[in-house]
Amino acid sequence: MSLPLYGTEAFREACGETLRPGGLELTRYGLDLMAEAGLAQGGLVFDAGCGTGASARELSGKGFGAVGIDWHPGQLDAGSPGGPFHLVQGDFMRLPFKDSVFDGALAECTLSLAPDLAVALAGIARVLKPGGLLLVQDLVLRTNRPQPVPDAGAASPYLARGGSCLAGALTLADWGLALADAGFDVLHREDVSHALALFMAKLVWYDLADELSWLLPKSADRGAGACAPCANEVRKRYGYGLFLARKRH
Amino acid sequence: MLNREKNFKPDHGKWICGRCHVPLEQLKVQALYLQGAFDVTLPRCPKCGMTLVPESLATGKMVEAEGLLEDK
Repeated sequence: MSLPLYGTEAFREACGETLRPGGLELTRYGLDLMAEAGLAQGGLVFDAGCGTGASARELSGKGFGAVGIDWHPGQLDAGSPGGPFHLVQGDFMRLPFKDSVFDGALAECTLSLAPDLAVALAGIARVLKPGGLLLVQDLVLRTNRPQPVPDAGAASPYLARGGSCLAGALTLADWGLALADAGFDVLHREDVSHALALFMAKLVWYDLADELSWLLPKSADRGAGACAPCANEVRKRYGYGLFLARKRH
Repeated sequence: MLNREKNFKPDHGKWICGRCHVPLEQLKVQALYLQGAFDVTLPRCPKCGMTLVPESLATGKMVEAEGLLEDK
């Protein structure tokens, strides 16, 4: 089986330990929004798809109780050890937590990997307290751009649901609808596509963008110099969004 | 294949800093553009820090990266 996109060496090189566009800077921005919306210091927050635990460490450092969950043991092993937070190996589609125990949740470029978004959001809603906050960062489809080439989807495991965040990208409006259907009120939505742009630029700069050559139509030239058109394809079709939502009482 | 060590030498000739009159050396610098920081080794004056961006870089990879950062 092919590695998911986030498991490739190029992706790790470009994204660093957070394994997603935006890095910890975007996490900190989101946490500030959560605090403004009422998340109190000392609150218990979990990270759905925590990877190496970078955000859990950040949460812990800011005085929150932090729990990270990730299904991939390699991700957890790659994280730096120690710290007053917990990393759990498990599936965020079946959260191993009791109902209504968390004050907040993060889902940073992970919901788009969920085999069933509605199930994933329902699970997060279940473990959040009423009024609990959910911060989502994820891939968005730009509605004014052409949709992915069907041939590329057939050829690449990355465009199959769960293969990469690209496969689970929704429009900004559809992300809002999915959150509302799961019992959340969207408090804030923001286009943060500059984070994706910077990520793509780094792939090109460091000669890593050929990892994304599967996005090009089959007839396109994939020889030397093909990496920039590749990255541009991603850049034009996809953006990056940030949402803050509150579980309804 | 990863290529973190970007090393761009002058496209041609040996370059000397016009202010300090010393040869440029290949030194690590960061290119900054629209919130992006990109590590690269470029010809640079070891005294005053004046840095030469070779034409091949300016019209090649630099343009590609800048194009991605500019939301068009």
